[in-house]
Amino acid sequence: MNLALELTGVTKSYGRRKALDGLNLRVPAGSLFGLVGSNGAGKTTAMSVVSGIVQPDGGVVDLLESGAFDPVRHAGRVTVLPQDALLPRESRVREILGFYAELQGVPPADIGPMVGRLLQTVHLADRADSAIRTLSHGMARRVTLVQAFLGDPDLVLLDEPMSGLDPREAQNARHFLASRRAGQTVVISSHNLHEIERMCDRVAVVEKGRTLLQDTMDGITGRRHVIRYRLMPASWDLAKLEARLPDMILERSPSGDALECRYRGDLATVNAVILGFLLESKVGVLQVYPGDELEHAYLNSTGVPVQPGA
Amino acid sequence: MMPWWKQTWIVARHELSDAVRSRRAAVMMVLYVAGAVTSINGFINVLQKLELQIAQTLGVEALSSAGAVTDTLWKSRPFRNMLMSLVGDRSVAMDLLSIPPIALIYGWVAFTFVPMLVMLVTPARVAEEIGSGAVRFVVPRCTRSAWCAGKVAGQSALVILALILSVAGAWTVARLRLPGMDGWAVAQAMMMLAGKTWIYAFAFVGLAVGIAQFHRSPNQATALGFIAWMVLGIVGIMCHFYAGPGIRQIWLVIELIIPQGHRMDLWRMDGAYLLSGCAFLASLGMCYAAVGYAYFSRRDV
Amino acid sequence: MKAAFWIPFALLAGLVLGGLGPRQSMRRERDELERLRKAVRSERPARTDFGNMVDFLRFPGTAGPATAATGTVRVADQPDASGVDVTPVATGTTERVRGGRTNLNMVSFQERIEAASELWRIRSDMVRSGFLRSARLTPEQTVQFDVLVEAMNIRLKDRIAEWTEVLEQAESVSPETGVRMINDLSEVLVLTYDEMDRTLSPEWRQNAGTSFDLGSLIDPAVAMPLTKVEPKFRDRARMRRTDPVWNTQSGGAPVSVAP
Repeated sequence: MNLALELTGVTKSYGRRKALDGLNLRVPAGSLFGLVGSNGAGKTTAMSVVSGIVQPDGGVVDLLESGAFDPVRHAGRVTVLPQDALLPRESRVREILGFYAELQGVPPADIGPMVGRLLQTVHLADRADSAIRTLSHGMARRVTLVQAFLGDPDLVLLDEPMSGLDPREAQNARHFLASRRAGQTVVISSHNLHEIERMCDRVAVVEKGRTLLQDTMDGITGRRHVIRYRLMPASWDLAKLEARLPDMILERSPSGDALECRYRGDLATVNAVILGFLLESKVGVLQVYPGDELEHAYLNSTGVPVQPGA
Repeated sequence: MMPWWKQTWIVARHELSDAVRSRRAAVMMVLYVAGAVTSINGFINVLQKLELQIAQTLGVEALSSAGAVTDTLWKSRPFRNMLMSLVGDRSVAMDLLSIPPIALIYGWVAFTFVPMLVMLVTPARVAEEIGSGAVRFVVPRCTRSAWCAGKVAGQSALVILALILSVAGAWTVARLRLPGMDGWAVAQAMMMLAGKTWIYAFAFVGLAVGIAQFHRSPNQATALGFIAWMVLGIVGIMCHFYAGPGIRQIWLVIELIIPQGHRMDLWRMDGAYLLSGCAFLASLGMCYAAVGYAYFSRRDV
Repeated sequence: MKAAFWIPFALLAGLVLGGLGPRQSMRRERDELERLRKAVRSERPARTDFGNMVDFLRFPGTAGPATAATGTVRVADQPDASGVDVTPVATGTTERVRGGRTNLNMVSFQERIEAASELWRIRSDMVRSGFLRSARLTPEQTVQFDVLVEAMNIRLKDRIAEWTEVLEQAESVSPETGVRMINDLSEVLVLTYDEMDRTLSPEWRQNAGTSFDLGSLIDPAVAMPLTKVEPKFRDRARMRRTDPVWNTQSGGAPVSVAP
């Protein structure tokens, strides 16, 4: 497997606080990779280390199989959308994007059309000649998103790309990210697990500077073979259902409106047994969904007990 | 892979166009030009009064416009004596007397205020970019050294712009107020002095960029730039008084590594002094910026 | 690139090492010059910057002698390139001025003429500028006017040189000799006025007004040949001070040798 990015035992401390404590990541080339974790887990630091903004204390960073970040080697091939960075206030949108594109080696003749096309994609073509200071937070965020895709880089690092975007623009951004070129690797760091789950094909969970979990999205959300039900609140006997499914782990919410089953074997068989029991018990079934949501996987991986139906 | 010099050129070009638009730089440049123009205007007023008084003393008809006898005044012996007392060096005074007086006043204003212009604009521009995180969009695209050099070059270009505008303003006022002035000669002299001022300013631009690379706060960087400028000024005066034989030679060495120690060289017409002054100031500017870069190249931005 | 980082430091180190020696010796020289200058200053009355300016305004009574007699002073051509101003500027500054008149005993003729030359340059500049503006001369007429003034000064110098020869041969200067000499020199001025009438536009007198005085354009240096006969003028001045008839007039009569 070709790796676009590989971090092995990367450490970074800010004073006494360890931001990265032996972080390991393997990002296959061409993947849309999600990096999730709580506040202060080390996602931003990891992104910054990869893009050369922050110097690591130890460990190995390998970008595009050509060593740690070096602007001489990687300029134009690796771009980053930093989390809290602001664009220069007095610059104009088209100029600043043109400056970045020129700096990463895009031929001058291609810069104008490329910038125009990207701005069109994020619905900012009409603000191309506006000064950055006149843009709203969301608009500025879209400009920063655009700059990360200038010159069609091989590896794009996006730190909280949807932050500050309205739902319409967030959806547009999702489409934009989904339509990336083949072979381009995108790493997205986000708190929004729902977004990550919908967009990414691979994911890693980072906590306290370490990698807790790292796999394909299917692997993470389906690994535990869970089937969950949303029910009409009613009183029914869980022990009878446990008797029918002796090898399974069953959990019911205190209010009785949710049921979760961890099982082994065939999903259809298990579902047929549970649904049959619920219908017999005259319990209304509102929704059935198989597998685990990323949120649950994340919470489980971090050791936080998950309330059924949460 | 893009060559280093090209990266530097792109950063410098962008820095200039961006700085020109920034309010702080624009205000400071306007103030600088206004200072030059006001000084020239004031000098012409003084000149007019002086000539009027001379005319009265000599019992000849007073002239309505100043400047008719400026050159004669300038080269008269008492004026030379006065200038020598002010400058403290006869050969420098002699060089100064070969410059049209109006251009000399411009040069004095330009030299005196250019470090202030630099310290009010440059550290804030650079520190603001680091503090706001804007630099994070740039460092993945070019080397940090190219960014640093580009900032120095861009800010130096901004100083050139300020100097050209101030020359234009000062020359226009002089032209309007002194109809008999040799416009071409004064313009040449002013441009020459503006060029020397730029060389002098380059050292301060290097210093300002060097200082700014240690900070994230524009205000802090500006304050430190000002303090550094004042400290260097005081050290320059101390060098002048304390340098001597033996251990006091250390003051001579210090004098060589501060911009103020080479200002007089720039005022001379002798090529040897000029060349030496230019080489010193250029290398000082680069060294100051390089000290800041040594830290910036390793810092987390 | 890492090596390039050290280039400015290496350059600066080289410049410092190379420049230290010359700068040190230059400083030594400068200190020595300063010492000499102080020594010279201590032998004459203290002069301040403001004093220089005041001297300049009260010119010529308090100003020092000029080095160049005519034309523009080229500072680069100053003889004292050593940097030491050892010329005893304004010796007798206070003695020279007495009620606005010059004390002939204390200052040589040559010194006074040199001082007056410097004054003349300022004065003639002002008079010329004022005249050119009011007379509204064309560029060609301006050149003609300058030529006429130059010619006038040359003629005056020749006449004075001739008179000097006469005076050298005479045992003393009589009042009649003085009057004749002034008359002779006045002719040169009259001749120049006439030439101006012939050469310049007919309206120049009307435009210039009645205040225009050719005498303001006479270069005092034309009187330089008279320095040879200075002792005779001293005798005459001494005679005037002792003679009650001379003392009834306002002092400074010897100045009249230059019209």
